[in-house]
This record gives sequence, C-alpha cells and structure tokens, in this order.
Amino acid sequence: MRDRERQHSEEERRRHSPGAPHDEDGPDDDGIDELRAETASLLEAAGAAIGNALSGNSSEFVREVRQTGGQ
Amino acid sequence: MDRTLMGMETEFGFAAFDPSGQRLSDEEWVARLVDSVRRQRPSLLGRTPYDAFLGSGSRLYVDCGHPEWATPEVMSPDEAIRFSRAGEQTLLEAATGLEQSSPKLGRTVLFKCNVDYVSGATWGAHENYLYTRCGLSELSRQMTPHLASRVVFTGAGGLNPSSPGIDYSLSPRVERLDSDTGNRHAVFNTRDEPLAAHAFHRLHVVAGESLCSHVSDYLRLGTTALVLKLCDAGLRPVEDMALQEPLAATRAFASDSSCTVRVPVRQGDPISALEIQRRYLQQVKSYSGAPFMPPWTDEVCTTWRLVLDALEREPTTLDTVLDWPIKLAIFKQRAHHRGIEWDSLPIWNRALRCHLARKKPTKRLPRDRDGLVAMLRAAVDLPDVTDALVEQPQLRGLSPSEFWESHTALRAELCEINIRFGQLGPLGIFDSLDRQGVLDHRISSDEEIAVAMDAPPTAGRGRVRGEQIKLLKSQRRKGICDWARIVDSSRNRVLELGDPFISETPSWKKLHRSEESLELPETFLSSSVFLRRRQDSAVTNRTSRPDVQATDERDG
Repeated sequence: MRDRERQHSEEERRRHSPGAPHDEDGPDDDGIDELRAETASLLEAAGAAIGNALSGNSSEFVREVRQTGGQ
Repeated sequence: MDRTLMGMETEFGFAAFDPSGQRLSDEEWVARLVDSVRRQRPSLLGRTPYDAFLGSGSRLYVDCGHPEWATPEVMSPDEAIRFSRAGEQTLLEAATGLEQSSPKLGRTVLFKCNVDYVSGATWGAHENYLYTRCGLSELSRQMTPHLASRVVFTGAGGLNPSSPGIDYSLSPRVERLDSDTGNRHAVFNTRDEPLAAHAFHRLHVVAGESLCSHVSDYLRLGTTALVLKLCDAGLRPVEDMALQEPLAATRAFASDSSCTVRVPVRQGDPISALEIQRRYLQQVKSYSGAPFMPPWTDEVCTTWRLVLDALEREPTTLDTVLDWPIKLAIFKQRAHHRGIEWDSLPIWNRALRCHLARKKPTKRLPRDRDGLVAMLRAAVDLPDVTDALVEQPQLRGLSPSEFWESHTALRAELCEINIRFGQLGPLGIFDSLDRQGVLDHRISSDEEIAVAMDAPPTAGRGRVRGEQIKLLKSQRRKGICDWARIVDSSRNRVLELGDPFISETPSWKKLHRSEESLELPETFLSSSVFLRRRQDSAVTNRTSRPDVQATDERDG
C-alpha cells in the first residue's frame, strides 16, 4: 500500500505538471489490467490456501471451535 | 510533545483439542496459554484472573473466556499495528510451546474472527483513544457519523449472522450492536474509564472488528484518532451531518458492497458512507499542521483519500488491500466453484427469509421446480427474474434438492473460511496469502513486529511500564501491575503511572497499609491455584496466604 501511495503521488505530480498530457487514454490507463492480474494472483493463491486449510467437514469444524461471547 | 495516545484490544477465538480431536476445557487451556506466555517472557501479574502485563508494556488477559491482547499506549497507528501483531506472534509461540510440551494437548486453534455462526456469540477488537476536553454528548454527535460510515474500510467482511442465507456483510459484528449510543454494544460507546489521572478521558470504541490487513487497521485507528483530535480541539467537523438512525445506518452501510447506499440524515438529503468520510477527510486535512494534530496526519490522509477514491471507483480494486474486499473475492470464487451465481444470492436470501418466516405449512425447503417458483414468487414479485433464477440450477445440472445441498454446503464452507481467514499460524488463509506476496496491505515489517514482542514503545507510560517490568523480573522481585501503577511487593513500594505521557520513570513511593488492595488480588489466587492443582495432583484446594507466596515464588 505504501508503494501504491508513492506511485500515486508520482502520478499526481506528473499529471499536475505544466505540459503534462491531459489525455493518457490507453489500454491500461487506470491500471485496470494490473489490478485484474493482482486479483487473479490472489484467487489462485487463495485456492491453494483454502485447499490446505479446510477441514473437509466445514459444519463439524465450525461446531468444534464454537465460541462464547466476548465484549 | 505530541499529545496523542491510542491502543487496541483484540479478543481471540481459541479452542484446544486432545490428540484424539476432543475439545478440551476452555477455562483450563486459556489459563495455560496465559501461563505459557508468562513463562516465555518477563511479566508481572495483573489484577484479574489470568492476567499479565509484559515487558513490552502490553497486557494479556482472559475476558469472557477469550484470550485478549491489549497493546501498550502508543502515539501512532503504525505503532499500534506493530504491537497488535506482536501480540499475535506472542500468542502463537505460546500455543506452539504448549502443543509441544503438553502430552494431553493435540492442537490449538487461535483465530481473529468476530462472529460465531453456531452460538451466535460475537467478539471483536476494541480501540482506545485518549482525549482531554470534549464533552461526551458533543463527542457522540461528532463521532457517530464517522463510526457508522467507516465500516467501508474497517469491516472484516463475512456472512451476516442475522440472515439464514448467504448474505455478505462488510462488517458482520454490526448485526450484534444494539443501540446508537450506550455503554454496551453501541455504535458510540459511552463508557469513560480513563485508567489514568483525572485530567484524562478515554474514548472506548467497541463497534470494531478484528482485522488482518494492516491498512484496514491503520485507517481504523488513524482516521478515528484524527477526527477525535478535531473534536477535542473544540471543532465541530460534522455539524450538519447527524444521522437519523445511526445503528440502522451502520447496518445499511455494512450490507452494501457497492458502497453507494444512502441513509437519511436529520437535515438535508440522504448521504452515503463515502460522502460522510470525504467530509471528515476534508476537515482533517484543513487542520493538518495545526499544533494539536499529530505529525502523521498527512500520511493517514493520503491513504484515506486513496482508499475512498478506490471505493468510489470500484471496491473490488481493493481486493488485495482491505479485509472485506479480500474476503468477498474469495467467497465469490467459492460460490462459483459450487455452481452458485453470487449475484443471484440476494434474491435467494430474500426468498429464504420469507419462507422461514412462514408458520405453515412447513419450513422445509422446496425440493421441486414448482416449489422453488412458489417460494421465489412469494418473496419477489418479478416473474421474469424468479423464472430465470429457477432455471439456473437446471442450467448447472443441479436438481432443486442438489441446489439446496450445494447452497447449504457453501454456507458452511464460507463460515469455515471466515474462521480460517484469521487463523494464526500456517493454516491461516490471510497469513498464507501474505506469505505468498499477493496482498498489498503491509504497514509494519516482520522485523518491526518481532522487535515489538519484547521492546516497549519509545515514549509514554507504556515505555516506563515495560522497562520497569523487565527490571523487576531481572531482579527476581515480586509485584503486580495495572494500567496506572506497578506495585513492587518485595520492597513494599508503588510506582504511580497516572500520567499517560510520563517521559521519565517517576520515583517509587512507599506502599501504605490503606493501599493493600493493590497487593495480589484474591481473584487471581483461584486461577493460580487452579493451574497448580492441574499441574500437581497432590495440591488441592489451597487458597490460604501461604499459597500466595508459593505462587509468587513460582512466578519469580
């Protein structure tokens, strides 16, 4: 996220600089492709993590670890 | 000197199992968990059962059966995250140590979660913010719209516990809040127990949830502390934005993953969570650099703005950043995997609610096409939509019975994923994603978190507390501790820490007879004896004064 902040600040500076192009429309102007790739990576990794984590009997697991109330 | 202090308290879910998989006594093993931490790290006893203050200035105790970790008082959201995650590592190490050293114990499960979908119980993560001047009723007016609308970035995500269906909520715990303002489960909690000298007040926020993403926690703490700063400086950031029904508004915001829903305000047009947050952001930014604002104001504002921009543009763009969008992406994937269209679920949920609310003829779910059509049409008067939905299971090759089986199985799986998401250790889904480098949420590094497991904060009374606990333990002295003082019972003296901003260690004072209540509390004895009894079957029912000494010697 900090990288994203830095990147955003740089983009802001570039956009607001005198002479900066106002229309940068292109195939990946808003970084949508990059975000889609990030989501795809997330879901691929999540699939593996879930496969590793799930008990095989979710109803039973949820009952097994039931909790009393907190504050 | 910056006069900002805050802290977090996280209640963890915990379960222990014997080697055959049978659940063990919560009371015994939570106590052993606290004891295990105390054996691994310098600490002093606290004043309640299973209670310890540690050399990092943090506190570990048992609250309502849950292990609860309270960070020391810190001056920035970065620091709070560091000490909060250090608490998780400390608990995980202790649990692992228990598993390795206790033959009766097979495994433990420690998790950050907020709702139990079996018992209906709820727990969470509370925040504390120090303030000095603002009156409680004015604070409630100014803070409530913030606390209601911040769920768009502070929500943990998960299934709505009040819904029988698969109903996503940005913040499941809000369903268990019971009032707008009050001293229990309210949007704005009025309990003002300063745990400090009389000049100070503590804003205690209980509406929050345990979060995994650093950015979610960073914004939760950073934005709330900054809004409080404005109020405490006598400013009125949202004079004209009072919500008509704060609790209902919080729930409405939490139920809308598009972040566009608007709620009524007392004056003017309905308003969205993002609009409310932008108003706060604008106010905070306009006072950035003022003497009463902390030095990290601009940094928080930058992240705040970026996140609001992203939520406005498309919330799914934060599905590697914030808790609820990450969890939502995973839930959608699992639904797809089971042949259920996520976008159709709101109508199925509505139909289910209507169906289950009927008294007759039966609450059994329909098993044929006609039954499904009747169920849907009773809830949604849009024949085209309901007919299309009924076709969906068939298109996927599922009979109505198989569809419900799949639906039920998906709901159970999502409940397990909800728990596994915040599980500490290698099986934890969030931790696993983080280790694989597919998330973009980090504020604190592993190295910084490791340091905070043992080193106290660099300023304030948390530093003094941590340093003195380490010193007393290195000298093998006995003592007890609470947030505002340390008692050195070996030397019959007390260290007053009523000033939370104390920069130097004050002088120890003689402990007078009238302060004997500061000595080891009877409530702790029962827990310590309980542990001893378990450890040594020869010891039974010892609650007399000699046991205090025996327990203390073991502690030393």
